[in-house]
Amino acid sequence: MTTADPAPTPPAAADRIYVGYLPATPRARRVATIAIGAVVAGAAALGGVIAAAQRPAGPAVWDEQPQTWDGYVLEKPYPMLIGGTQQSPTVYLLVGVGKIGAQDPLKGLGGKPARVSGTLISRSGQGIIELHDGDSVTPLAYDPGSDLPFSSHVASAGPESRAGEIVDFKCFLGAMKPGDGKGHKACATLCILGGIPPAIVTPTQGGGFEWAVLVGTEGAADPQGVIPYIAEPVRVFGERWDVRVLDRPVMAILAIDRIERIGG
Amino acid sequence: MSAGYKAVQWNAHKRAYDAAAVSAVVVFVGVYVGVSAAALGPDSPGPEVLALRGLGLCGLALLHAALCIGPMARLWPGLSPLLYNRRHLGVMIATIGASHAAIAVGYYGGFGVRNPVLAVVDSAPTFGSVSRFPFETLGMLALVILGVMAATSHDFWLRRLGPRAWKSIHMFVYLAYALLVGHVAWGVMQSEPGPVAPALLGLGVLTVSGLHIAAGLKELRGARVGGGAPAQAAGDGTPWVDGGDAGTIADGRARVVALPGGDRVAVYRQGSALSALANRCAHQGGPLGEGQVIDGCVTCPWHGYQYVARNGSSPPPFTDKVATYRLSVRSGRVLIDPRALPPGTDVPPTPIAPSGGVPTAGSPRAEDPS
Ligand code: FES
Repeated sequence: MTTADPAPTPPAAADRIYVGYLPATPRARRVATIAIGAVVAGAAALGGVIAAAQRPAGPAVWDEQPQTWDGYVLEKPYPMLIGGTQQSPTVYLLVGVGKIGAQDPLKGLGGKPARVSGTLISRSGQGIIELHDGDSVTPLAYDPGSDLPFSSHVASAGPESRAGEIVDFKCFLGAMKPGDGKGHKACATLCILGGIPPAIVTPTQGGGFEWAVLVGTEGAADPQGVIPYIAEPVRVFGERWDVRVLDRPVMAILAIDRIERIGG
Repeated sequence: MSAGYKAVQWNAHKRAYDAAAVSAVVVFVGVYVGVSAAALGPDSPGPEVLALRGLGLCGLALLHAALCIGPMARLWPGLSPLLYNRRHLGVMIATIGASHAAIAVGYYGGFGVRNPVLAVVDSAPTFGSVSRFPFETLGMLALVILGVMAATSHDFWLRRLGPRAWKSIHMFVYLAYALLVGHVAWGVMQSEPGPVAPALLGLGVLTVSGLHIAAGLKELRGARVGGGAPAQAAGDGTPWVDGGDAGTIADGRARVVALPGGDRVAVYRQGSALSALANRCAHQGGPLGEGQVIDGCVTCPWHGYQYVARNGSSPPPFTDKVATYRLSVRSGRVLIDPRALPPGTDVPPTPIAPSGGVPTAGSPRAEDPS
């Protein structure tokens, strides 16, 4: 009876299976060396491919250098500062530190001149001012000789619809990069709840964008009306109002009639 | 093994393994951040988002690796060095995931008028919509699972919970994986155009599932080699199971035979005799039949637990035990009594070709199957 033969001989040390607490066999060393090389090279390749395929976050810049601006304040629907000169007026939305609007520090200053200090967040030539904590707003005495463009009003431009994404304008302009998209939705929701102006932004050729601040039908801030639609492709229908300074439109505000999701 | 516990029983292999894993993490995150800055310049995501994404992607890539190592080591046993320290990978993945979540909660949920965690999980969620699905919740659930797994990964918990309960808890890694695939697919992939993200994720899912299916098929095929079909009946009518040709089992190695109930038996050869023990290691259920006799003991291929082949007991001072089985050799074929003996029961080895040349039941305690 020879079923027991040919019995292979006991495993030589070199054929030993890998056992972590025993000295590694040459084969285990070879496997480990190749595996380490492959894993590290694979990690580098994967990291590089994913990074190169990312969507650009946009040319948004937060200038950390503190600055001051003079102008006069509009409180509603969202705080803003009309400044610049008669020849070239500027308008900046104002926001607080973090995800809080600037409603509190500007309370009661609507229509009055003030000096504000803070930092400028800007993207493609459009800026928003983050006020410092504390004494960031100083009322100024009215100076009839001032060059400030003291003539503004808000006028209807008729019905309008805009397709795009609803964002919180502070993050979109560069407080966060990217400040749009699904990954940023929770943050945008929190910002808008906290009083940061919501805007609908529509990309244009060449990486720019058009935008309008969103308010409720009555023309007042209405965060709850936009929150279910943040960070999705939507079309907003409503009436457009222009903030006009020296009779030139400087900011579009869309009073929402309804919002439709695009593609479901 | 389990005579006592230390926080981590370090050895040179574990150090090398951890050093390699940490290097891969550092290289991945470093290259990701570097290439982002170089390729996108001023349009690059900000540092917080780069850290958040780099860590999240790295954790997911490591999870893929950890999930692939098991089936790869079954398919190509030479890769078992990768399996040895897999638990450290698990702890690393949970730590990386927790860092990713901490940045996400702080950055996206912080600085506002709500509790940061609530702000992240409760931003107008709609479960019925792809674009509005709350992907953050999926990630947090996965993190809880990975956290529990990491916290219970030590042998102390393995011993306290018992290998079956411990293994069951750790099977939830597949649920965590599915949740993380959803976290990415319903999250960042919704705002990242282009085919790269879905292609990579699809490739990952295919690789993980393909390797598991291939390893499962190999195990099924391997277990069938011995026949596994009912053969002759023992005296009490229990059919013994044909375990294949006795002489072709390599010395110091085993053949895995599937019993009709689904249990698997490792039939080990030591010299000119055979012993059979349960194929499930008492530690984490590793396949003892894919191990080897080292220093006279059956040695598990996963973490090196050892057992004396004839009684299924770990050598002193260790106390682990697995079930043993009675064997017989008839006409050159191994026959296995499918009734498992209590773990640690001594069964004298069965000679493959007993002197006298006529194969008989090798164990004095074994019943004659004929
Ligand atoms: S499963 Fe860990 S040593 Fe066997």
